[in-house]
Amino acid sequence: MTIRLDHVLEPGSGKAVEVRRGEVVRVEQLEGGQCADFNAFNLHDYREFFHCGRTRVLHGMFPTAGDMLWSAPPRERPMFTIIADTAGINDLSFPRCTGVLFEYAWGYETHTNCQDILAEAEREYGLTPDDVHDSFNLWMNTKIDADTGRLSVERNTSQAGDYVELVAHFDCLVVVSVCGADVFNTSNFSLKPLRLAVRTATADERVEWLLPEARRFANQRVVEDFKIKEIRTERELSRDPTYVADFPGFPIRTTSVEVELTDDEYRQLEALRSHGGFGATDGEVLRHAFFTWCLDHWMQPHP
Amino acid sequence: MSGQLVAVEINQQQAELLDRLVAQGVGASRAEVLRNGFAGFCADQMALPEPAE
Ligand SMILES: [Zn+2]
Repeated sequence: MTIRLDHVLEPGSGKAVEVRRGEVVRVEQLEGGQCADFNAFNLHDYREFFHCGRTRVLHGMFPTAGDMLWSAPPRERPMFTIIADTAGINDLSFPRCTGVLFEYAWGYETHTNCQDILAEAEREYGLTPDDVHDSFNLWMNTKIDADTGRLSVERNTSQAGDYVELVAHFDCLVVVSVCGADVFNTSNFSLKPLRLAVRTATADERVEWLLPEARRFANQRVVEDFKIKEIRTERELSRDPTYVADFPGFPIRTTSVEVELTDDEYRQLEALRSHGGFGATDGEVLRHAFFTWCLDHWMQPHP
Repeated sequence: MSGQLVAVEINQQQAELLDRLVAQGVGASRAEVLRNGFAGFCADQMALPEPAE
């Protein structure tokens, strides 16, 4: 195991680091109680980047050891697996903090914020503020009210020495910021340094965690699949006069299947229909019941 | 079987799923797969505990 990079992230700063396939990026608390924002891009194609939404649906709001970080659709593949997480208080619900947040909430003209820190850090690799995306929030202790859906932030319970380690499944640019929010609860109202390190995975870790490089699903699209392969360079949008729509699976055609039910079964169907919530007609009720049964018994639970 | 005929509208993607279930032996035809799934749904509903008042 070799440590390739060992860097102290001072409060108010961030850093972009290359993490190659099979390497482990580690973010560590030096004093405790500090939130870190984590962005990631495919090192060889920055248009593939980490996606909170897909990750949230597959692993929940609070990913921890054993969970994966996914790239955005249409690429949609595991970028990292979290292989260690000593505190287990991470978040995928909050967006990165921004200058606007501190301006409207508190009247600051200038205030440390993750959007600006991440943008400045990734500028080292030619990326722009528009390329910053919503973060995996390490050590952000959030709660969701089950009734209202409102989000809240609670005190950061991480301690000095707590760390999160992620193994990269392909070459990535990782960008980490010391979250600049000191007038919210996120980091217990003070900004503190973090350690950022990159090391090679051990042979055992590679066997246990590293996924094969080949894509697993045809719908994990690559640039070769795109009808337009070039990255836009103009900011202005204009219509392509030669455009002809070509939606996959279009057009949708329906057919009718006659299903014969026993009198007993038909009485059950009538009961469902009069109960309500399954559809207005016999056919709708049967279709609802059938596909609900399919979801429960035939769907693959997890990619 | 003297029963009731129910017409179920499905699209080509749903038909594809039904055909896969036919291939997996869930029923001999799309109609039988639909019927067996409906029976399965009803059995699942019966298996649910009664809601506590
Ligand atoms: Zn922040």
